[in-house]
Amino acid sequence: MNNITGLTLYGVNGVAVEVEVEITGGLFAISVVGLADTAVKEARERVRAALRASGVTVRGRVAINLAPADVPKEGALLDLPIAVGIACASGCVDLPKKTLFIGELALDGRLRAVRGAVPAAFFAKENNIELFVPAGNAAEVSLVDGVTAYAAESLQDVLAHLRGEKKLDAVVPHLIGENTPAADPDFADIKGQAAAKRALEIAAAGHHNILFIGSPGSGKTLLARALKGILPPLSDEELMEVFLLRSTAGLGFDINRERPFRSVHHTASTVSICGGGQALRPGEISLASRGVLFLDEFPEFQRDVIEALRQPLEDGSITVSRASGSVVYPAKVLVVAACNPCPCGFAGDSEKQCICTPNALERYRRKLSGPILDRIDIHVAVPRLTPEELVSIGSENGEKSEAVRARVTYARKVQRERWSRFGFQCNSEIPEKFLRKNASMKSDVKDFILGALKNVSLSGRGLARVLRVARTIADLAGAARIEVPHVAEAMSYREGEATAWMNG
Amino acid sequence: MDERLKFFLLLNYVNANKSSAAKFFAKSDDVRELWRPTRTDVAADVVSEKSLAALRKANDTAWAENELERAEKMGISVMTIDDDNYPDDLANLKDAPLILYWKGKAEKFPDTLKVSVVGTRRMSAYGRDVSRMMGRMCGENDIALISGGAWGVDGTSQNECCDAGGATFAILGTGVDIVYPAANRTLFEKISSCGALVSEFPIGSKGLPWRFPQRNRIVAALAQKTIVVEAPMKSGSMITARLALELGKEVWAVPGQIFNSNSQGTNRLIYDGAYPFVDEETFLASCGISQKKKPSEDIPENLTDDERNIINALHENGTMPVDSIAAAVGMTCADILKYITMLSAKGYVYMSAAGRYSLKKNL
Repeated sequence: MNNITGLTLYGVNGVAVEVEVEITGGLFAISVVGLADTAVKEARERVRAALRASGVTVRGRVAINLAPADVPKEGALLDLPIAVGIACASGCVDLPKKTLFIGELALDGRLRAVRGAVPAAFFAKENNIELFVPAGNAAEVSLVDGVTAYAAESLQDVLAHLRGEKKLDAVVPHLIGENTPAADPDFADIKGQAAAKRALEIAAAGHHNILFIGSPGSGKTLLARALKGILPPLSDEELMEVFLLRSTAGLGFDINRERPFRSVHHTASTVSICGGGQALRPGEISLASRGVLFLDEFPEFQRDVIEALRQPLEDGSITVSRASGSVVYPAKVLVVAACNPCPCGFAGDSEKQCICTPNALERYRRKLSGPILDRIDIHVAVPRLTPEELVSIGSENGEKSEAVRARVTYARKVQRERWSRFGFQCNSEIPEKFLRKNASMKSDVKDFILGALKNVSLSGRGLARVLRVARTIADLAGAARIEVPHVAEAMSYREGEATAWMNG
Repeated sequence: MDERLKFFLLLNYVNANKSSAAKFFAKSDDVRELWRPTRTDVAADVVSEKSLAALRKANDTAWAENELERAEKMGISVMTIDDDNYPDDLANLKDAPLILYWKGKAEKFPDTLKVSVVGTRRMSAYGRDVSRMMGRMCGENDIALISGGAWGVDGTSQNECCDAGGATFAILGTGVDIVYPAANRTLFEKISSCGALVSEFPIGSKGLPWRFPQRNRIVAALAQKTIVVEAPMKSGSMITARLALELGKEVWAVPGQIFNSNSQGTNRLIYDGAYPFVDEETFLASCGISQKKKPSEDIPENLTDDERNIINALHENGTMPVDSIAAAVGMTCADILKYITMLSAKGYVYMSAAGRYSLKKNL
C-alpha cells in the first residue's frame, strides 16, 4: 500500500498524484514516468542530491511512477513526494498513513516555497490527510482552517519527523481579523474631483464598471487606485477564493481583507489577461477577481483583448480551454478603465490646446466605442484642475475613504437582501427584463425618463444601464423606490452624456 | 443631351471656370467646337493642352452623359451657371464655377440673408462654444449659414444650425457624394435634409489638398457677411476672409486670447479692419434683425435658492468644475452634484469640458 501523495494543479484545484517507487538492482539510474513535464523530470537530479545531503544513500535502478498516468503533471512541487517515496522504498522511513507532500528541493536538502500551497491545503482538508509543506508556504497554509499541516525547513526535518526522531510543530491556523488596512490612497488625500469620487462610490456600491475620461495629469490613475479603499472588505469565502488564486499563480500576498487591485498595461496579451498557457494558469482578470481590474489607456488595448474581456465580465467567470484541458476560473471583477479624450490628451482642456488631426481623433474615438462599452455602466469626465482652481478649493478635501466605505457596505447589504432570493448580489448583475419589473420606481420617474429621452438617443440596453445605476444611487440614499433625482444623476453617467463635450 | 450643358460639364471636368468659358465664347458660339474641332481649334486657346486631351478623352467615353446618369441615380442635381437658380453673387465672380453639383432638400440658395461661418478644424473649447452660438443664432433668425462642412468650426456651427431649425449649406472640397471626413456622415445627412451639400467638383472627386482652398471662393462669394470664429494666421479660413474682403463683403472676426494660436488670425483680421464680433445682438442689429427676446433668457422662477446660487456662480465665473462651484457657493460637493445633475437634466447647465460645467444660456 503506497501512502505517498503529491499534487499537481489543475486550475485552482489540486489533483492527487500517487508517487510509486520501485528500486531494483543494477547500475544507478532514476527514471520518471507519468506525463511529467520538464520541471518534474529534472526533479530526479535535485532529489538525488537532496537525499544524499540528508544521509539517504540510494543504490540501484530507481523507477518512479506518477499516477494517474494520463494526467499531465507540472511544477517542482513534486520534488518532496518523490524524495520521500525513494526514502520509503529504500527503507529509511515508514509511512503508515496517506500523507500529502509538496515542495521543491534544493541540492542541499532545503525546501523551497512553491505555488499551489493553498490548493494543497484545501485538498488535504477535504480528504482529511496530513500535509507537509516548505516553511516558506506556512503562512498561506495557516489561512486554511481545519487542516493538519507541518512546515519543514528541509528534507532532513521531514525525514526526522517521519522517523519520529524530532517532531515538527503543526502549523497554527491563522485567523484573519476583520480589520482592513487604511486606504491608500485615501479619498481625503485626493484634492477636488468630487464628481469622480461620487462616481466611484456608486461604482463600488453597485459593482458597476466605470470609465474615466480625462487629460493627462487629471488624476485618473490615483482615483482608480482609491477605489479599492472604499470597497467593503472581503468576506471569508471571497478571501479564500482570492488566496487560492494567488497561491495558484505563485504570487505572494498580504494577509488582510483588502480587495485585489490589478493594473494591466495595454501591451498585455490576451493570454496574460484571460489566462491560459500549457499549465492553464489564471490570468489578470482572475487574479483581480473580487477586486478591481484597472485598464489604463483603454483605447490602446488590442481589440481582441478587449473583446475577450466581454464574456467573462458578463458571466463572472472565465473558461480557459487549451489542448491540455479546460478550467473555469472566477472573474468577478470591477473594471476601471481610463483614457484620454484624444490621442494628444488635451481635447477640451482649459489651458492646453489639442493638436490632434481630425483623422487621428476619429480613429481614436472609434476605438473608444463598441461592444465593450456595453459593459461599462458609468462614464465620468475628470477635469484637469488648474493651480488656481486647486487653490480656490481650499484645504477641504472631503470625506475619508472609511466613511464612504461604510455607505458602500450598507448599499451592498441592501442589494443583497433585495436580490439574493433571485440569485443576484449587486444591481449591476440584474438582467434587463427583470430590472424593468423589479426596479420599483416612483410614478413620476417614468415621465421624467420619457421627457429626457426625447432629446437623446438611448437604446434599450442603455436605458437598462441607467436604471441599474439609478437603483444603486437610490440604495446609497436609502430610498426604497427610485426617484427623479436618482435617474437624473444616473443619466449624467451615460456614455453620450459624460462625453458630449468631446464631440465638436 | 443638351449640348450647352455638356459643354459646361466637360469644361468643369478639367476644372476650368467662367473665365475659360468666356474666352471660348469670345471666339466661337458653337459649343461643339470644344470636343469636335471642325474649323479652327478654338478650345486649344482656352484650356491647356493637357486639359484638352483629358477633356476629349472624357468625351470619347461619354463621360458627361454618364455623369448625369450617375447624378440622377444618387439624387444629385446639376446646376449650370446659366441656371436661374444659380446665385448672382457667385455668377459675378470672374472665376465662377460653371457647374454646381447639388444634393439636398433645398432647391436653391435662399434670397434672404446668407452668412458664412468659417474657422479652423482644430478648434478650442472656446471655438466650439462660439461655433455653437453662431449656428443657433443663424438657425433662429432665418439666416442661411454657409460653411465648408469640415470638422471643427464648420461642422459644429452647421450642426447647431440644423438643430435650431435653420437652413445651412456646405460647400465641399470633394464630390457631393463623398463624405469627408468620414465621421461627418450624420452631419452631412442632417445638412442635406435642412439645406444642401454643394460642390463644383464632379461626382466621386476625392479631397485633394488644392480643392479645399479653391472652394473657399464660393463660400466667400455666396454670403453677404463672413464670420471667422477661430483661425491661426495661416489657414483656409484666412483665405476665405481675404477673398471676402476683396469682394467687398463684410468680414467679422471673433476676438480671442492673444496667446492662443487659434485666435491670432482672427485678432489680426480685427486689426486689419474686420468687425469684431462682440455679441450676438450687435451682429444681428447690423443685419437689421432685432433679436426676439427668448423666454428662457431669464433665470426661471421655479428654482430653489441653492440652484439660483449655483447659476449665479457659473454666470460670474464662466466654466467651473464641481469642486470650485462648491467652494464658491459654500456648499458641500455632494449637494452641488445633486443640484448640478438636476439643473443639467432641466437644461440650464451642461458639461462644456471634462468635468466642467457652463450655463446653457451663455451660449
